[in-house]
Amino acid sequence: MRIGLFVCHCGNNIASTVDVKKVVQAGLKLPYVVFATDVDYVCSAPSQKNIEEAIQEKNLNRVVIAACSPHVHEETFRRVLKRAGLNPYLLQVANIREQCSWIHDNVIFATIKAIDLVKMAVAKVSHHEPLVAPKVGVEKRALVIGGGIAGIQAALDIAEGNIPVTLVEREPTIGGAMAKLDKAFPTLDCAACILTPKMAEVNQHENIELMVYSEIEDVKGYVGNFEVKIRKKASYVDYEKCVGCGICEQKCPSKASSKFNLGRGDGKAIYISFPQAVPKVATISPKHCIYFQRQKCRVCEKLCPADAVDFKMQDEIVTERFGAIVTATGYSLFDYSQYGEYGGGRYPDVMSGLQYERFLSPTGPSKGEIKRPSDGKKPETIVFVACVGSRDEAKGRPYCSAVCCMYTAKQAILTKEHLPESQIYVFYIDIRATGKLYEEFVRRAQEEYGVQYVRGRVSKIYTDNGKLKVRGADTLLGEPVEVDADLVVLATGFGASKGASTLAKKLGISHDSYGFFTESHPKLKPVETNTRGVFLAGACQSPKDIPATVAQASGVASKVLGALSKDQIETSPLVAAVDARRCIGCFQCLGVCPYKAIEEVALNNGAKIAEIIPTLCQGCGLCVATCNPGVISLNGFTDNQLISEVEAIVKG
Amino acid sequence: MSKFAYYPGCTLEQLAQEYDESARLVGKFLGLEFTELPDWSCCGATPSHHKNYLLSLALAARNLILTEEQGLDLVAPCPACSNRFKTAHHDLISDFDLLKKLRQKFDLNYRGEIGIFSLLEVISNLPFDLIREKIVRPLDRLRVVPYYGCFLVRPPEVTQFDDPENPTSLDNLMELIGAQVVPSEYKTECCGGVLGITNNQVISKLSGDILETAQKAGAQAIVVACPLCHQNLDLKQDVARSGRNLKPMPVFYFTQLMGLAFGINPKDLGIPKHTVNPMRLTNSLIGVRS
Amino acid sequence: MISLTKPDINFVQEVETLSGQKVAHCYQCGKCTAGCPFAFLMEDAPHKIIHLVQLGLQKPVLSSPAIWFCASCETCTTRCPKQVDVAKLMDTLRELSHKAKIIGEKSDVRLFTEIFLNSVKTKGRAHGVGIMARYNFESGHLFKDANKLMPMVRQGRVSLRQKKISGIQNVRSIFAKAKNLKSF
Repeated sequence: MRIGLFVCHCGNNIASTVDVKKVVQAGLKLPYVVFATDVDYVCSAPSQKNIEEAIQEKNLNRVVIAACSPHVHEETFRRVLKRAGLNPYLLQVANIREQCSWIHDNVIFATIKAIDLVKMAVAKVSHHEPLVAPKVGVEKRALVIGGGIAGIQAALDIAEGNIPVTLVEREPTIGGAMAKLDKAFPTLDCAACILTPKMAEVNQHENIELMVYSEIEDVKGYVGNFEVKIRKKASYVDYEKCVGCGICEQKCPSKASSKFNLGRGDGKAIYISFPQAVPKVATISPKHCIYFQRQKCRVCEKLCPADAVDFKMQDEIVTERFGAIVTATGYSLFDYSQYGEYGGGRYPDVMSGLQYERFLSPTGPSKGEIKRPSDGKKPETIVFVACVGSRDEAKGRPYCSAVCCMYTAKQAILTKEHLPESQIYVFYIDIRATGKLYEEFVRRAQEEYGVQYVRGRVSKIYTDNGKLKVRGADTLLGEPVEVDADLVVLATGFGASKGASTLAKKLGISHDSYGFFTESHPKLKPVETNTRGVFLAGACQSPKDIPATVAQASGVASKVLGALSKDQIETSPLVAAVDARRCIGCFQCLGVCPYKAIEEVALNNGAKIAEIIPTLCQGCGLCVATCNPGVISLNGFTDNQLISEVEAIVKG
Repeated sequence: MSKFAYYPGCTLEQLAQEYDESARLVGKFLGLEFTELPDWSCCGATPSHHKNYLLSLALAARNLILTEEQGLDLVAPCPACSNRFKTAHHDLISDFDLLKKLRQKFDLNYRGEIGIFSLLEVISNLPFDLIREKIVRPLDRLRVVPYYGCFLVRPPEVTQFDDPENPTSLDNLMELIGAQVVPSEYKTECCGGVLGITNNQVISKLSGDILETAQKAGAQAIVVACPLCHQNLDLKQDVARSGRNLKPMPVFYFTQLMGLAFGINPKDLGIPKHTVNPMRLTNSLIGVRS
Repeated sequence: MISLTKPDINFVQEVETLSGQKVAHCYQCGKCTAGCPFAFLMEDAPHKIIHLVQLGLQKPVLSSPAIWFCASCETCTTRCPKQVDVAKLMDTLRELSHKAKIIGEKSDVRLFTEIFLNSVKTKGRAHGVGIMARYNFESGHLFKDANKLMPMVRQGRVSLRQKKISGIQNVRSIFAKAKNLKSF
């Protein structure tokens, strides 16, 4: 046993609080330590080279590095050992920075603590055995969940990397929220015009398989080897046969409210989502369909020239294998009826930003003519209210939704273009316009288009004789103010997509308390999750605009292509293992494993014991702690290793 | 749950006796046993917490403790009182140090074991069938605006009753007794409250707005559950109507309207005591020639 | 020119301790002002009052007449997106204004408060008519609501006396104890 100890200064980060030289001296006195030195920056290239040389020259067979948190550089140091010809798991990192120098200021006590931490590391590493990282094969196919702009961009970029992509979308068409927009800020491009070419490309790309009206049923497996069950929902229209002529929708006698128009505007039980839908096919919603509800009608079936209507259709479940999964499931909007003071959803002339966007759109419920839903009249005064369901702790939404300041300015400008004589007010608290040309855009609304911005929230909106009374504040004046409006648009904030937490459970990824999926590192790993092989892009991670979404989607594609570029990948050997001889088959461990990594296995004599699937195991240790007979051990954290740490400091 | 400690409060005892009379009568009709809280003292109302928080807490707590000693729940027809009691209760049971302070500094030992309700709360929580079977003359010729005021429904974590922006308990009761409820956007807009006592400008603006919107919506009367709202809207209706072109509009307590529907004599309900003459409307509702 | 150089941190802390509210939570959105039914009487709107506290400007805020026009209708508290109990802050500022003897009130609201509480202290219950009469007298508005007197007599609302409750000593002792205590 020949242990080498390297104690890092980390510049001032460690050395200003811990007497590094003292730690080295103390280390030399420890059992099996044959070499110890202090280093300025252990992670630097020259220092790494020095460690490699020391390992070889001094014939070290165990290494302790006292430096920063293993989260930061454990992988780096493992690679050093590997290059020096040593098994990378014969390393123990002692965290004398985050857990010592960064949290104390008394040099004497911090040094004593650092020495203790080194004692623990030396004792533990003396119990380390070489470990070999298992290798698994990689299925070179990617799954993208969600066909909005994020999913579309990610699918296209991955497909261009010659990897087959399956794009699963739960609506009958791809396009997501962006397809509902009239124009996009700050360019005022027609959203459909810039989106539909991409949608068409997805449909035509030889490497992309598009599965619309489908949802993820179940996910099993691990990176490189996911087995996914996809439910193709019954649309009651054969998408292969349907030519999207629209006769069925025209002639359907039912009444429904249009889902695409977010409940504003009429729809039918059989519908094509919007004119540029991809694929352009009809779908039947059973709960509005007269045949499904009352066994009458079937007009669509009779009139369909392609004979595509099939009332007998069933859901179909297909199973596919993928090496990587991207979730691009988008967002949902805050339900403004939660604000009783804004009418609780009772006033037809009060609507959300996206609902208003549908009124602005030529494919919307009023064909792009802005009319009051209550009486069809042209509105003269329109009030926009920012931060509805955002920056509101009382409603459980303390965060900012990032895009509302911009889409409100956009809608104000578009309104002025439709109705140049209209009077427009925007009640805001702060303006967030951080993107390229964004600030100029918002100023344009005020300076060029004469939109009146009033700084203050709105306390109450009520009706009086057909008008909407908006009671707000002008905090810059220091006064309450009131506006008589004809139409009020509430800039509702982003939330997690419906069903996000259920999907997260299926994928084995985490989400925050709002339902947004959690990235692996907020600054440096924005498109990965903590579950290897599952990536994310777009608003499902956090509210963001289209440029950021597209950038993130392309970013996630590069990660996927990287992950799938290898024929084999290594998984971590720091996993748990059950001692088969001593397992009593109580399966308590199975119940606590968050990764579904434990299964029941039958022995030759019929007895059932627990077995851990090493590639699924994430080494969390829950099963180890749960196992009553104590027959599960965790590589890299065995009982002997942990006890030796305790004894090292307790016994001095 | 039909036995309550009944807390009339200072206003019901003197200035708003008709609310007290009609409340007790209607309570009896509905099988509710109201026993006046013995030797109750002023809850403190608004002036107490405007002066000193601990004073307001202790004044309210004294009555809560008296109620605890009776082993009953507390019902207060005046929303200022019910709000003070609910606030004291809420503050005391959520802050152990405050409870201790009350005990140590005021020698007031509250265990927090009673339920505290406004009268509207108790009655609107009764099974509607129970109320319905007492109705002998539905007030189907009445178009009324239910007006809640502030203290019954705000702040919601304290009052735990109905909805703070669009309450419907009083609306439902009025519909139950046959009246046509005129919807109002001013259901919970303040009438002026305690500031109306010293400041007529407040009444003419705030109470005036309530009257005006009610009248423009075609209501014949306003129904309230608060004696201070009643004072601002009825006793001082001349002030409220000043500067506006409005007709006089009677203001009833909800217990009075319920009592009329139950067949009780308007006189016993104290209706003739109102300042704005309510008798023509009342007589038309009960089918008496005026 | 208002100097922000040495904010009165003690004042801010005192307000926060007494009210149990953290004024830094207020991000000045103005929703309280927008919904306040009495803002039309206030020279300093509710959000401005809070901002004055945030800046530690003790004298301007305690001497603002605005804090005396709050009727505790609780609209602000109910709707505040940061869950600041604005009505409670107003109570606290009134209490502190008494303590610091900086009174900006011009509306006789304080007078009414004193008369009301005095009645409660004396009898255990507030004597409605007695309070109104005394208020008229002491405020100098002798004939305020004089046209209400006869209707009220006719309506039987005028009780000339208020009996003392039996437990009057309990009530008086509450007043005495509260007087010496700093309100939580």
